[in-house]
Order: sequence, then structure tokens, then C-alpha cells
Amino acid sequence: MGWELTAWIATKNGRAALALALTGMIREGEVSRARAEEIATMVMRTNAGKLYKLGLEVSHDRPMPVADVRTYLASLPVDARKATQEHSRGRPTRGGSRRSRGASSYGMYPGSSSMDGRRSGTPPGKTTSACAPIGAA
Amino acid sequence: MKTVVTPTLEAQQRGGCVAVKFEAAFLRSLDFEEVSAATASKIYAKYAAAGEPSHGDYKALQDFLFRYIAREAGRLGMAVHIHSFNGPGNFYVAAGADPLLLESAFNDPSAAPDQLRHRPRRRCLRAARGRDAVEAERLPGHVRDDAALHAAEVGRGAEEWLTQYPEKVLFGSDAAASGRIWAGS
Repeated sequence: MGWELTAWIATKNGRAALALALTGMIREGEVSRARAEEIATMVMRTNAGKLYKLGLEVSHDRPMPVADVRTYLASLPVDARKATQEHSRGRPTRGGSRRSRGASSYGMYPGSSSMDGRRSGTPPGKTTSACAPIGAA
Repeated sequence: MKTVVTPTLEAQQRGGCVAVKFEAAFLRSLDFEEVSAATASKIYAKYAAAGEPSHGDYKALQDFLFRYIAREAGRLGMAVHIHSFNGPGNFYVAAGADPLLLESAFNDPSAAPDQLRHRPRRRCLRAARGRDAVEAERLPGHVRDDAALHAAEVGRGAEEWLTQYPEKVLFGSDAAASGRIWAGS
């Protein structure tokens, strides 16, 4: 397997995995959609930029990685939707242990989204759709 | 060490190198112990010209070299990648590639996380297997990159990391080949 194919597979899987994970976290109320987009930017860009001192521009107004995730999932809507649903069904129910660690420490907004889409913790100026997968177009 | 190893790393850093990577897990266990320079020098002097060191002596020398290179890379602001978890072939000993074996290296007071903030020492452990890696995430200075697995598997494991350590998770393509092209990872 050449490096081109390795890179393509890794990129495809990495973005899909990130979308699945963040969508699950939004649905569970772990994070708001805005925070999920911020985390996606960190994973795909900011963290590497800091670690390797790349001097990358960091702008959450332009969440490029999330846009990439959207583009990817939009190109595979059936698979993405199916995988997201399977992922949500297969995930074990978590008790309060994670939440009790302190929401702010882990980037949760107080009163962040619930399954019915109401969210009191959405940052000012941000509008969000309730439980749409993070990568949904 | 200061004649060859340090100048080599410095030249690489000047040339744009942002990290070094140890593939040691393909050859040996990751339990790199702290070994004094005096001990390592004695072993090297004894076998440099001829003879075959015992396993213990050889490991001690390797342990010293690992920590020296890691510290120097950190001093120069380069991340240190360490292959862990699975690998190809029957020769590969997965038990020796457990990242928890790196605990003493990560807890090395000369490269402790608090000091990392003041001195440009960074370490990046490249983990390569889903939820098994969760415990390793708790190691200080550990940054995770993992994109070579099935998306759903990574996604399930990633929720834990993204909740607890979002600043330590990063995407890595591992787009390397065994030929002449190395696209980086």
C-alpha cells in the first residue's frame, strides 16, 4: 500500500471518526454544537499547530476542519447517516461520572443541549440545530 | 553524544524538522529506564571495538540513548513520537509495545509536564489502538494521534479522549511508505 492510499484512508477515517464522536457527544449533551466545532478544529488543526509550533492561524469563525467533515459526510450521506445511527445505538449509557468531573473543565457549556434540542448553554450569537450530526450538511 | 547526536538533531531542527520518531517497539520493549551516563559510557567503551554485550548491557545503553535523544529533541523544541501498540509480523512483540511501559519516561523529572511549559519539551506518543489506549491518555505529556482504524472504532474511543483531553488529541495521517517517499505522519 502506497503512502497516497494510506493518507487517503487515514484522512477519510479520521474525519468520519471525529464526526461520529462529536455527534454522539452533542446528542448526549456532553458538549454544545459550538464546542464540538471548536474541538474539531483543535483536533484537525490547532493542537498540531501548537505541538509542532507551526504558527497556524487559528480562527473559530472559519472552522475549516468541520467544513471538511461536512463535505466528507455530504459525499457519503447514506453511509454517514447509518454509521452515526449505529454509533449512537451501540454506545453504552454513561452515568453521571463523567459529568460529575466538572463540565467547565471539559469544555461543556452549562445547560448544554438536550435531546429535544433546547439548549440554554449555547454561546451568545450562535444558533444551532438541535441534534443534527456534526458532519451533516 | 555531543559530537554526533546533538549536532545531528540540531541540524535536523534547523532544517525544519518538527519531531523525531522512535520505532523502537519494532525491535524491543518500551521500558526505557534511567541509566547514568557513566554506566552507558562504560558499556560502550567495553564493546565499541569488539565483543557482544549481554542483553542487560545492551538494553542499558539503548535506554540511555533513548532518553538522551528525547531530552535533546525536547530541548530543541521537537516533539517525540513513539510507536506503540500493534505492529506487523510475528517478530513484533505487542506486549512490549504497551505505552504504559513508558510511564517512567513520561514521569522523568527532567522532562516533566510543568517544565514543558517553560522549556520547549514536548512528547508525542503515537498510539494506535482504540479504547485500549485510554489509560495511556492519562500519562503526562501524552498526545494522541490515531487515524488508521475503522471510523466507528476510533469514534467510540475518541469520545472519551475528546471529553477529557481535547487538547491532546490530534489527527495524524501516518502517510508513510517503505520506499523512498516519506510523507510524514
